[in-house]
Amino acid sequence: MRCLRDKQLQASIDGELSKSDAAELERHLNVCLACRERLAQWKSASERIKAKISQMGPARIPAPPQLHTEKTPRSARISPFWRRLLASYIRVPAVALAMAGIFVVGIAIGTILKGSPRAQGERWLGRQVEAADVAHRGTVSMQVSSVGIDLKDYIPVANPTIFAIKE
Amino acid sequence: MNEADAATKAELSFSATYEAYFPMIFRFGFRLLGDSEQALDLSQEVFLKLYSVLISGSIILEIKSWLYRTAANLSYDWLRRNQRFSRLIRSGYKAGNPSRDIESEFIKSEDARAVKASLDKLAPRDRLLLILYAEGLPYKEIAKTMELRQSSVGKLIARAVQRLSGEFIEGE
Repeated sequence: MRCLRDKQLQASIDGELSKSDAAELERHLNVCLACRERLAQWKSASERIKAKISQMGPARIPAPPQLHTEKTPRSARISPFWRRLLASYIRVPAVALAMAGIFVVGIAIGTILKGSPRAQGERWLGRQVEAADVAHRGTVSMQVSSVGIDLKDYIPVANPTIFAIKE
Repeated sequence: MNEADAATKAELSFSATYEAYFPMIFRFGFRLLGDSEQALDLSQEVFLKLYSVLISGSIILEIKSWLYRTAANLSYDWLRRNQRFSRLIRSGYKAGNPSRDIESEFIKSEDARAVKASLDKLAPRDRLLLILYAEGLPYKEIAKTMELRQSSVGKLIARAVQRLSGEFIEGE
């Protein structure tokens, strides 16, 4: 056997060698003074370190403080199935609410961008009047001139060629 | 056995474990972090984690290893934070609260403080390894705690022992 490696010395000191390895190591130590000395040195270093670290303790060890664990057991007592169901009851309305919210906001933005339905209707009316005016300019102007009333008082009906007088 | 019984049983086994292992984890935390206050916080965090694991119905086979491992993992983050902080101090930053580093009342002797200073110079992994080693854990448990191969524990301890001895000699 060759001279001992550090980890063999360490394992030997700590009693971590297998029986056969320990016997082999013993045989080598019997014939190798250098390894015997190294082992002795290593052993004292290890023991010194162990002792010093063990010394390094707190002056006193406090009593185990009360842990705040009250909340966990109650929920843990509910079976996982129920917990899942409970969670889904909370989750489903939340998702539905979020979707409804997005829908409402969408509608609101659309309305603002396009204008109110009333304004839309007025715009449509304006376009119809314009179309009627273009198509029947002659008629319109004739009627207007012969009857002598303001065009503003006319409102178009579905058929742009027919006009009704607003009260 | 219904759910409520299981929960009660878990709670009972938790409080027994808490009483039994709190001092061990507190001391371990103290050695790792060098501060009673932080050790107390760390211990509480470890046991809260244990509580949530037990109450969820999981079974921990090797409670001691589990506790050490959880404490070690949590403290890794703390040590990293501390390292950054101590680098700040070394680079000339003056900490506002000088009384904070006087842990002396908790550390038993002058000698122990020197050990702490030497340990602080090691890499967090070496420090953790030596502290577990000093706790008297067998290699198998150290391997489990630190998620190492059992065959490499001896080598790593040997190296860490050498490093720390070097620090001691330097410090004397």
